[in-house]
Amino acid sequence: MKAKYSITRGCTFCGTCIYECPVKAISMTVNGAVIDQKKCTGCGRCYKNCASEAIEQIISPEEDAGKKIASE
Amino acid sequence: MKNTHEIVNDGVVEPKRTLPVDGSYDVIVVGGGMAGIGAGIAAARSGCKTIILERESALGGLATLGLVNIPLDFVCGIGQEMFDKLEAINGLWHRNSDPEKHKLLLDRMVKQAGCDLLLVTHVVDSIVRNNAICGVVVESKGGRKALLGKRVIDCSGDADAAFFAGCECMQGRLSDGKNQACSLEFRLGGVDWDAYMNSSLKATDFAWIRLIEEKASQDWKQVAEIENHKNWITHVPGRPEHSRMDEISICFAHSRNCKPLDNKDLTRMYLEGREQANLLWQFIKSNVPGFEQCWMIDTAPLLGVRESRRVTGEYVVKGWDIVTHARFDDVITMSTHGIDVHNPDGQGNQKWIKAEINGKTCYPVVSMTGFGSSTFPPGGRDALCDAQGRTGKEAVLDPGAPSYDIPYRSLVPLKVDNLLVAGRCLSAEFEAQAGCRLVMCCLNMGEAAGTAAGLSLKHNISPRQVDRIELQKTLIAHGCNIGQNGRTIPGVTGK
Repeated sequence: MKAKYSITRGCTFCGTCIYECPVKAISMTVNGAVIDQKKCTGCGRCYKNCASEAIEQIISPEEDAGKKIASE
Repeated sequence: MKNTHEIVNDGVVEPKRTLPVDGSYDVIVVGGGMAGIGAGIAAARSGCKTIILERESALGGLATLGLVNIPLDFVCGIGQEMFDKLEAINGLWHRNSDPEKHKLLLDRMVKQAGCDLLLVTHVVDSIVRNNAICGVVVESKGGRKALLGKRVIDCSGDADAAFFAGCECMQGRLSDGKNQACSLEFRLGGVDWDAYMNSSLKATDFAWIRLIEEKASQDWKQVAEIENHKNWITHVPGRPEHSRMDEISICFAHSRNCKPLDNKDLTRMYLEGREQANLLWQFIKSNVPGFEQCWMIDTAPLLGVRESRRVTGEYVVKGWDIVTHARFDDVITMSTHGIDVHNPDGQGNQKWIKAEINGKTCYPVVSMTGFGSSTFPPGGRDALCDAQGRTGKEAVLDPGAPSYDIPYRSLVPLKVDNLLVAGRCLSAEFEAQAGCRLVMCCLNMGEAAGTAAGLSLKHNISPRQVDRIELQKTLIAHGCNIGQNGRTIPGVTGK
């Protein structure tokens, strides 16, 4: 499973990520834009185009597990 | 005894004179901001002998000289090319651009397109014969001169050439004619962006609203008075040439009750803007994590005027068109920005309009992005509604960032021929204009106008008569996105 993205810090409601997402995984709420993790493919276009840098990459559980094994 | 002028009761009489003609062009582009870039490059590439006339010392307008280094809206055509080239020189980060690299790139793109350029040259009048514009008058260190042009594209932002040519123009909001507030951006260097992004301030109060309120009682009262909305920060990351320290542009300063077409008030705003910037950067340095070592690099050489004159064109884009995500057969570009009005005479940012729906006063938004307002109508947030007037849970608001069309007719002024406009001076109502003024939208309008001017010359017809289907097919062939993949444009696509 690829790493995904989440809107975590200071969305300014510009809507650019919503336009950029090729799978329409992002929608606007009263509290800002939200990425549907089930639809997100991890392409990163939202992250790259967020002028406010409000989007973070979330490490997937598998990758996280992989890291843990590597460091043990 | 030397007498240069007669001084009479009502003024000073200038002697009549004949102006030297400094060049004859197919297309004259007034203004070298983002709209002018799109227009000049498009016209030159369609084979027109083209010149861009720019008042300032560099190209890019507010996107470079205004430090509004946040090129939002649709990226396609010439805009896509500009993005690719900016990225190749490490001048684009997320959707933030490096103003210095951008300026240099634009110099090169204009030259490579074979478009002529005059900087520090101010268009001060239009030449009209038989109801058609046929040139402009410029002032520069070289004196007052005329330039002749078969077509003129007004990308001045203030619709100067259109106004001088006698076109009808609109200004300010309908109720009292007041213009949107202006902002003088400033840039800080020596910022530790990672420290800021990882701070609890960023996590809990990213718009600094509580911080400003808290500090207002401790000597920083004036900051609270200036503050307008979720202040925009644009970030250009630290690089080796900048000792790895980050650069931030900030839209924080606001000048209200402004007259952006009055040199006295423009002077007031530059002075006020610099005083505000001086206060604000020290506030930021003292109170915001990550900014402890920062310094002010510069205040913008160009004041951020959001709205001044809008031309009255063949079609006037309405706030209601934006709310209903209007589709026009003669679409030449789109925007997703929505309503975005900076309060003319007070604090606050408004992403809704007032409208009559079924005989009732309602406050529709374009989509959920409307909830990004910082001020709300009577009834507060709960009063925001959809295009049918439904509020609260009943409202059917687009969860996306739906686009609305900008029609070719909004670039075509009434009355005067051979003239087009592009950029923030398009034919639109006050609230609608607020939703059509982003950097890339202006560039796209410019590309459409430049392409249309080329077609009008090719067929020896007025720009008013250009076949919108031919224009649209040409734009699409040049890589423009006019919505052709998502809907039917009669005569152009089928869907």
